[in-house]
Formats: sequence, C-alpha cells, structure tokens
Amino acid sequence: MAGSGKAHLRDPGDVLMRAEDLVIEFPISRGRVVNAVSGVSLDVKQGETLGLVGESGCGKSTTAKSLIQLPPPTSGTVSYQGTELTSLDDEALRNARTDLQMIFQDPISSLNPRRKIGDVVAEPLRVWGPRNDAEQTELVDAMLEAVGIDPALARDKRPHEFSGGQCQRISIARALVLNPQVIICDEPVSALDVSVQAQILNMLEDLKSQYGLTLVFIAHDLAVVKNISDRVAVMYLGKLCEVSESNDLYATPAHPYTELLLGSSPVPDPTSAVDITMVEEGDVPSPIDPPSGCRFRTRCAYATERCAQEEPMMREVSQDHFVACHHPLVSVAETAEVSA
Amino acid sequence: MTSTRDEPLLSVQGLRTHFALNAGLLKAVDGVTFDLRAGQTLGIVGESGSGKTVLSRSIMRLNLGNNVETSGKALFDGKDLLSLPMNQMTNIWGQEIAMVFQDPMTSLNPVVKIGRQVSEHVRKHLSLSRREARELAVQLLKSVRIPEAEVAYSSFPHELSGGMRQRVSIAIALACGPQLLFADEPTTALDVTVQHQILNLLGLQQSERDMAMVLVTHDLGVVAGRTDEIIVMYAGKIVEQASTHQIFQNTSHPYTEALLRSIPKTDQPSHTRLAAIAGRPPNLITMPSGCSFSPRCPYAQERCFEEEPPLTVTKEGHATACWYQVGTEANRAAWDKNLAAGRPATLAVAEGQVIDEVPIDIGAGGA
Repeated sequence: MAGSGKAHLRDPGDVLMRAEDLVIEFPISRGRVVNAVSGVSLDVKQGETLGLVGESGCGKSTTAKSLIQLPPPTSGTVSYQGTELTSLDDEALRNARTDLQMIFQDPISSLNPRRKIGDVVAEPLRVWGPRNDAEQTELVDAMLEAVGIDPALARDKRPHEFSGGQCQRISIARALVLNPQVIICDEPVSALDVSVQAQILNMLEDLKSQYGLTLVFIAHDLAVVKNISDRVAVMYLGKLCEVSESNDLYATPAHPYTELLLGSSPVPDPTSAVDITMVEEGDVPSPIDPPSGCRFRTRCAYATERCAQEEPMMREVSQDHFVACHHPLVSVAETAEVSA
Repeated sequence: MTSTRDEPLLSVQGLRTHFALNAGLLKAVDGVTFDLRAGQTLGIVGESGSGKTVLSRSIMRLNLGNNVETSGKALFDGKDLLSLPMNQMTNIWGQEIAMVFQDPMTSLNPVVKIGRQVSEHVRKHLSLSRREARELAVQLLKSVRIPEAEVAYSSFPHELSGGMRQRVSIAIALACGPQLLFADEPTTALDVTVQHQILNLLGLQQSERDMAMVLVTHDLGVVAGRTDEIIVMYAGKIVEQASTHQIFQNTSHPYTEALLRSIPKTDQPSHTRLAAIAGRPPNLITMPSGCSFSPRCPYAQERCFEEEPPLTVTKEGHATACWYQVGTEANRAAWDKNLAAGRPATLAVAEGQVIDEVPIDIGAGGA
C-alpha cells in the first residue's frame, strides 16, 4: 500500500486545486531526513469536500498545509485555478492565499488571548479588505452572525471568555471574512465535545453551501470524515493508500489499512462484539527510515514478498475508487486494465 | 480481600466535591452514589465539565488544595477512603487501587528511565531486590506487549511513541496487582488503531487478573462493548445509570439519547444531518434551577425548570433522573407540546439547526 501513482487524479480542467507528486522532507541531524510526505497527489473539485484521514504522523496535516505553501513542498507542484503556486513569488503568493484559508485544531490557542474578538476577526480585513472602518465592522458582524455568535456581545470580549466550541466558531468567522474559495480544516473538531462537534459539523455544511466553499477536511475520526466528505483519501506514513467516494470507501474498503482503521474505530453499539484478544505489538515505523516497497507491509496481514520489493501504484478497483495495494480486499477481476 | 462476590468492592455514597472559587462554589461532583463489584467494569461517560474526572480523583484522594471540600463516603474493602489518613492512603495507591491517566507524557517522569519508573513501585511495596524487581519489570513490560522490553526498560519516555508510553503507564498501574483500576480517558490522546490496542490490552489484563475497572471517557463508542455498567454524568450528577445493554437499547434520559444521536456513525451515509444538542453545558457555579439539562432538553416542560428530578430506579436496576423519560407517553406529549410552541431546543433537534445560546430564562414551555 501506501503507494504512489496518479490514477485517481481527475481531468485538470475539472478541478479547482491539484497537487502532484508532493514530497516534503524535513532535515534532521547527521544528514538524515524525515520523509513526512513522499509522492502524494490529490485534487479537489469546486464545491467538493475532500477528507484526509490517517494516524498521527502520517503526513495528513503536512500535506494539507503544503497546499497553501506552509511550507512549500520539497518537490512537487500545487496548482490552484490553473496557477502554479510553487512557482509564485512572495507577493503573488500572498495574494493567492487570500482565497485559501485555514482552521486549526485547538481553537483556543489559535486565537490571540490578548486581542478582542472584533479585532481578531477584522485582522484579515485590515490587511486585505476595505480600509473603511465602518465597512470592516459590518463585515465582521455579518461573519460572526453567520457562525452563530452575537456580534454585539462578543466584539469587545477576549477569547478566554468563550468556550472551545465558540472559539472554533470565531476562528471559522476569521477564515471566512475574506470570502475565500478553499478552507483547509486541520482537525477542527478533535478538541471538542461530541455535542459541540455535531454543531460545528452541521455549521460547516451550512456555510459550505451558503458561501460555495471547497473544503479540505483533516481528521483522525473516520465517522467524522465520512459525515462531512464527498471524497476521502486515506494516508499512511507519507503515502496515499486509498482514494474513493466516501460512501463507497466505508462500504467496501479495498486497502488493508482502511480495513484496520475501520475495525479499530469504536462503535457506539454494545452488540457489535469486540475481540479483546486482538492486541498486536506493532507500532508505526519511523518516517526517517520507512519500509521498502509498500510502507504498510510491516503491519499488514496480507503482506507477501512482492510487497517488500515493489511499491504498489494507484489503480482503479471500481468507479471512482482507487487503491494502492498489491492485494486489495475487493475482487481484482473488476480491474480489467490492470495487469499483474 | 474480605469482600465476597456479593458485596461491592467499592461503594460510593453521596459523594460531593466542591471547589470554593472566588466566583462562587463550584459543584464539580454533587451527590454521586454507585457500587462496583469485583471483576466488573464500570464506564463513566460525560462531556468535559461533567465531573467524571473529579469523581475518580476524589475517590483516589488526588484532589489537593485548600479550597476542596469533599463529603460522602467511598467504602473500599470496608474502609472509607475519604476519611482515611493520608499515610494509609499511600498503601492503597498502587497496591489496591491504581490509576492510568489520560496523557502518558505528563504522567511519566521525563527524566527517569522507564525501567526505574516501573520497578520503583514494585521495590517499595513488594520489597524485592534490585534484580528481582528488574525481572518483574521486564515481565510487566512484556505483558503489556511492548516489543523489545529489555530495550524499553532502559529508555526514557520521550524515546517511545504515545501508544507505547500509555502501555508503560498501564504496566506501572498493574505492577502490584491492584483490585481496582481507574482508567481516566486512557486513550483520548491516542490514534484509533492504538486506542483499540490499549483498550483490548486493558480488557485482557482485567480478565486475567480478575480486577475491577472504572473506565472514564467522553466517547460512548469506547464504553459500548467493554463495560458491564454505565453511568452517564451531567453537571456533576448521575443522570442515567444502567447495564451497558440497557443504556444503548433502552435509553431513558434525554441527555443520553441526545449524546447517542449527535455522534456521527460510519454506517450513516455521508452528509447525514447530525442531531446536535442545542446550547452548551451549564456553568457549574450558577446552575439553572430544576433539572440541569432543562435549558438544552427538547422535552423540557415547566416542571423541569422548577423541580429537580430525583434518580428513580426501575425493577431492572435502570436509574434515570428525568420527569419525562424517553420512550414514555409523557415524553411524547412533551415533545409535541414543545414543537407546537416553537421552543428553540426542540426545534434545533427537529430541524438540525445550530443553536449556540439558549436563553436561560426561557421558563414556561417556550413562546
């Protein structure tokens, strides 16, 4: 698994954003590098929600951040509406980024504790928006209202006076205030309680249709990702395992890693038997020295010789369902064009 | 152990933990009563601020500070833990009751090697020699499925992954063979695959050692297949208590019902509208009068805003604190009445709206 290839990419004319062969390496001591992302290709259509899911350290946040060049990838390309972001100079990139906004995991630490809510949300406007104070205030108020915060009460308060869920709403208002096209949501609900999580997920769906947004949604909770996404990409150790329309992915996972994730995900139903004798010793291998061939083979129940030698490439197993695995869990007969 | 199978191992009676703050008295735990039998698993579920962590820490006597007032009883093996002198408590910690904490990075000492942290305990309580303690520690590390236990023995916590660190905390907790284990959100900081392993490990160790366990979590999915009984807490009180099967199949408190509905599930199609719970948990200093869930409850009637419902127990041992329990005629009538009156919390559930602030003074049935 965890292979390369671009079979899952759609026609460049149809997509809003397209990343090809992203490689992101972080140098560490003695000339070694952390292979955070190794050859990931993704695309997002206008108005689509792309879910990115995987364990911590699999490179999902790094991949998403590199879409807005934070930091730029070591190699690979990111094109947005036909513009190649990796080749833009600083000024042009700054301009392009107004269309691409981000929401972070920890709502409280992503807001400056010393600033008033009104100023926090107005900050993007002070840089990019109308110079006129009255116009700015109007926009800020409209945004706060759109995320369910009363602007009259909130404007002069500071972040500590709000709960986690409210702070996340405020960060969403800040991300929306410049009227962006794409919002990258980096685990926006992981730090929230389930009841608040449901409020935020519903709200993101509403805002998405109201403002015609395109979302890249990162989470480690498979049920959350399924709820919000149109298409889901599963990552493992810096590689893509499986990309599919979301209902199809959950109904018929083709990659052994997706199956493992789904099997581990807790189900709020006491009748679904839990086999407690299944305690594996395995740990995720280090991204400094990833396994050869398929990166998942060290934990995979189906791994063979071939998985150690040959890296699997993305291939289509059914309509809009792609997997990078030598031994996919769905019948390979369907994949007519694939020769072994 | 003097208690038999029929007597509870731990019996908590009317436990209250209040914190005196400048802003007022914070009632973190307000009158909690439950029993736990040997070898059984109890799940305590609730959102942040519901008092579940303070409850387990109160029983363990870990709430330090001059502003903490704890009252009630926690009988363990005939002794009231809450009135035990601290020097006797130290003999109970680790040997009879142990605890696994949420964040293994902060619960392990970062400058002490794993081996010493595991064997320290054993040497003190079981008075083993250095060699014997080392052997036992390596055994323990192996029993929690740490690969290359010998290597892990002489590593520092930062050299291990989060999941491995949590295994070490479990090894430490199990070292002296406790009768009772408190696991306070043991997997919240971990990935789903690791969470699955850790929970299985806890379950496996529990059945091997015939140990009782209290599993504290915010995730109903975590407790579903792994507990015998569940307590649902809200604003410092028990709102529902029943066998795991009953809680899920025969949910009777509106809060439990709302929690179950608000969780996204993998068997629902994408973009399923979630039934969010309107509003947010109450401020524990200025609690609403009547039922503490009433401002967010879609079924709330006048009575709920005025009178606090008692915890009533059915024949089957299903306890619920609610005037209009889910599944009853009165509940359906209350829903219809609220829907007709356009009460915000009811509408929010009916139409999947997002309502952040439900006014507290909403008094008489909406309008």
